[in-house]
Amino acid sequence: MPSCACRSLSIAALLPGLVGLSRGCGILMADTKRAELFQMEQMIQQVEAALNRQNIALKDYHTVIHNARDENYTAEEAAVEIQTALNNLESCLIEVDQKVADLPSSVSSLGLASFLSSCPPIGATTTGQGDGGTNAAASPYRSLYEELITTYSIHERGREYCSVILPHLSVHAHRKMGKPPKFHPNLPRPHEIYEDVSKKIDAIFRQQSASLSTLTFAVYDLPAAGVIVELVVDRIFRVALTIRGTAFVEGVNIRGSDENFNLEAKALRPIDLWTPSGYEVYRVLARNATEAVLHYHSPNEPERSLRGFLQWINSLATLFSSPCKRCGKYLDSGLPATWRDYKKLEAYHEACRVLTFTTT
Amino acid sequence: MISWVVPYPTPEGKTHNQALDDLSKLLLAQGYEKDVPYCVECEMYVSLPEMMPVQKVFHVILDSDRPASCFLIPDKDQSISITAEKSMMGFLSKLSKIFKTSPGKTGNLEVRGQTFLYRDFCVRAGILSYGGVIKGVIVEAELRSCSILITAVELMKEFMSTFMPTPMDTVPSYISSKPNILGAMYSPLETIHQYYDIFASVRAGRSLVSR
Repeated sequence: MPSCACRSLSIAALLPGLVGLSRGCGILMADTKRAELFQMEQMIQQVEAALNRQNIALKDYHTVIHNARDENYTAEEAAVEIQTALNNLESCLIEVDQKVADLPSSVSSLGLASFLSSCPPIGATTTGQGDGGTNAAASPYRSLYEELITTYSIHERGREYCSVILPHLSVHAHRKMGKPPKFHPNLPRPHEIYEDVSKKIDAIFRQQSASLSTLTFAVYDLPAAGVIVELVVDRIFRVALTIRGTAFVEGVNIRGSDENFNLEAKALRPIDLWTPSGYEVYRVLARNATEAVLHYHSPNEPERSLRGFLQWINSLATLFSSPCKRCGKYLDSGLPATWRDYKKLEAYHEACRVLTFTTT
Repeated sequence: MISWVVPYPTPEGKTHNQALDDLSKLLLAQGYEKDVPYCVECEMYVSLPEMMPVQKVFHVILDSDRPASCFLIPDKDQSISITAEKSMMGFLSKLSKIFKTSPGKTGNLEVRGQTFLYRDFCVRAGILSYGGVIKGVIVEAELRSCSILITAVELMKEFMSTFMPTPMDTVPSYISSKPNILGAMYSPLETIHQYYDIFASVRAGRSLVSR
């Protein structure tokens, strides 16, 4: 049943295109072909009527189920009603199937492919003739081409819709009275596709905010760029995180507190996520943050990896106020301690970090 | 953009100009890049006694690094200082019947010097002159990437010790006298107040205290 319904849907999408094509081609073709086309048009109209009957049968099936549920029919009464509706639906589908089975052969018998290849190319104009002559010849071509283009786009759209509808139809075919439907385990539920992911991410951040005392966060759900979380670390610098799914950090950028990402809706300037900071210390921090994202990444436990990464960012609040663990100084060639150890969150300069790694 | 403005102690036996040259050479040797020259001017406006029974005095400070602004600081109560547009100067000239300024800029204080850049730091070193007489060398050290004073106190002390002849033990006097600005977002007005602090001590006849 799902494959029949699928095919019927694709044919329904094709119908207007085929009718248009037949009308367009009829203008130019010979009489015999024209008669064949006319016959095909009649067949298509019969198919259309059969599809309408099938639609009505489907609606009946749905109504029966809803009535049975709402009015608390007994199992036997409900089973009888549903069986009748299903039989009706099946007979309609078989009818549609039969009518549709003839269509591809009749279409190919018209030799449309060879006809179309012999059509003049789009935009061609005859030369050396009077204006009246060219205009009369050009206008039927133009309407044909327009109809051809419309047909093609309808066909492509029909194919796209069928591929989307097929999984849902296969789900509804298994639905039984009184039991929750068993969804196919690998396919997403329809409502999950449109779930509010930003609210979930907001909840995760709120849960963790107690342990991240220096972070102020705001979650933005942008249609073009996905979910972006902007953190302000102790009012010193800003972090922009692009989040994929629920908790996977896809990208991170760090800029100074005066360098705005323009994420608020009322900001008139375009959103600017990826321009590097004008300050060298934050360019180095952004590089280290990307490294930390990769370090804490864990495909099986996304929330844990996000928590670890946020703890790391939280430790950067002491960027200007903690000396390097190795050399004891605040500055090393003009930069503060911009790296934090992944386990103990101790501060190191870039050069001191390399030396610590090589000596331990 | 936190800044510390401190007087530079000129060593014995050297003029202020020579001390400034030595400082410039030291900075260039440490890898600093020379940037644009700068100038900070302070003009005093005094109210005319016939217009106001109680004399009011305020100072207007212009900074070449903030070319679109001028800063007004009253003499008595510095908490009501104003950051205004440059066009305020035109407005003040219209008040010439009420407030007068010293003619020919004889009462003006001026710091004129050179800017040096290194990573996210900016050091401005210049000669302070009062009415054309050189009084000393002023150094301004700015950390451009941070806006909260309290987070970078030790770091700034360490930074200034790299070019000052004596190590910095304390924050500038203006910052220590105003503890509430330590945790607030830093604004350019605080830098101007630090300059004003030094100008006021020079006007009062006190010598620049070296740190």
